[in-house]
Amino acid sequence: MQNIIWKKLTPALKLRLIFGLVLLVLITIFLYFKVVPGGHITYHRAWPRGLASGQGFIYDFKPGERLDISDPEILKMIGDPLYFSLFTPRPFDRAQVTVTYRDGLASTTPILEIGALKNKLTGSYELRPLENKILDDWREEWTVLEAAVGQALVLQAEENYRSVADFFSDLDRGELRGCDNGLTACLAVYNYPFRSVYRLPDGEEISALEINQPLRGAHQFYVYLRPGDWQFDLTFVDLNLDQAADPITVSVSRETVPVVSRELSDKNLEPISGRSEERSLSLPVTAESAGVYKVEIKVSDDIVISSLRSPSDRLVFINKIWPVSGSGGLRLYTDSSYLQVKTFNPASLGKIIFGDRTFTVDQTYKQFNFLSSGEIRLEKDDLILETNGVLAFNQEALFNPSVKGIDRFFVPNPDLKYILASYKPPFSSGEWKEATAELTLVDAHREDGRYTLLLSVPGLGAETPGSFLEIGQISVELKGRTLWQKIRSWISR
Amino acid sequence: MAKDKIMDKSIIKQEIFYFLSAALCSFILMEIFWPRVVLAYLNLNWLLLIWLVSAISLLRKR
Repeated sequence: MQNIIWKKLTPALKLRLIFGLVLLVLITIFLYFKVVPGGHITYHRAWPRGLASGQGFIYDFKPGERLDISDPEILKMIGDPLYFSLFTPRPFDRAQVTVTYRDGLASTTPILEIGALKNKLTGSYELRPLENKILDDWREEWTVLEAAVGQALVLQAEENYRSVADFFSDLDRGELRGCDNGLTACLAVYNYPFRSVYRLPDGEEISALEINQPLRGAHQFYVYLRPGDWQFDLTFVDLNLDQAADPITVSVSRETVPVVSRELSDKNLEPISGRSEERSLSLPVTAESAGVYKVEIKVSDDIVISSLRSPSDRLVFINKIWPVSGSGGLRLYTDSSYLQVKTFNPASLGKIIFGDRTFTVDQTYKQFNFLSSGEIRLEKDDLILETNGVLAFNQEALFNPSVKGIDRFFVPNPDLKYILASYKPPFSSGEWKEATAELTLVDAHREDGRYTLLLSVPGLGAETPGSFLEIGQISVELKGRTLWQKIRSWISR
Repeated sequence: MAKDKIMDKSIIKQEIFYFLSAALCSFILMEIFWPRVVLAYLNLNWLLLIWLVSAISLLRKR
């Protein structure tokens, strides 16, 4: 019967049917790759690109000045950091990124990391390691205890432990063998969510604190609270220098568990007008137990935190502070052994006294690295100060509940006996290396179907002439919900 | 016989043109609704160029 119908058709109609079928198959293929019904797909980008028709999924490497463009067929990173886009036709939960690279890096740039943009407003990225040469060196010298599951890597200076289980059992109790000067002195971590065990002695007084030093942009701080109901009062000034709306989010968490969060939306009635708007926010917090709470103020750089009233004076800023009063003569204290300073304001160029040394910030838009410790005295403010530790306005308040992290300035103290990391060294094949990192995309920022990713070699740039990182291939294996799981979630709604 | 072949050829050319037109329209529509879903795999400029060559060749025959 079918044969008879087919024979009756004119040649033109037969051809039309065949071509129609081909088109249908093509559309189905594109729709299949749009939906990714299995919830699992891998995208690649290689250099040189070879024969490729489409635009691909990994693209838009910028800024251009951080790339060596002498040969457009290769991707050579000469500055830090490098941003790129990952287009996905639908959202995914996790990404396993594998980077194949050739490393022409100086010894002052021992770390290579990759991350996904989490918050567009604050520009915060969650970075994961691809390579850490400091850890690789320590692996050669120290005893390695490696857990079979969970990728926890423990390095010990002396053979105090024979199994990872014994080590973690002692760590949970806050006591490690051979740590006479406390856990924070003998342990360093890298890419490991270590829980804070900091406790303030019961007798020590805690009083309220008011900071009237204006601070620009996003900030986060640790604050020590005793059990009770407390309140944080914050006032903000929206500078209205940019086009976008400037919502304000303040959230409090305890050991990564969210406690409370509050948001102030922005109607954005006067964008780029330069007319300041004052806004205020009160955040009540119930502290169920004594300990360190983390407060995150998520705002854009168009917002200045003009005052902050805290129920506790044990308050330290984490990693970064941007004071902007314009009055100068400011004193800060840090537990870090280095300070990174940058300014966008020519009027802020001048001297900084860090510890017992005097440094000069003589260029805008340039990051200066100063090595010293202790007190920071600023001749002028409107400087972005960054460290790998904490910063406080008075020395008595200075405390750091976190153990030391391993970064490019890491100098081990004589008490250091253990390193705890979630890290896998890269696989080497000749001069090329292949490293893999797992990124969480559930809470990553996705705009127009694109995730923004960052490739970072801290320190790579003007200070390291001739250094480069050549990327051979980037492969992203994405995992998310299957079509069936999605349908089930719709039905169960 | 030769006349049939010429006719066959012109039919094929015409059907190819229809196919390319339909493909181009479908892919452009898909791009409007789901940006980059086709462009990520296929450069539509090439398809447009092939469609143009097919159209010119069809017009020339006529």
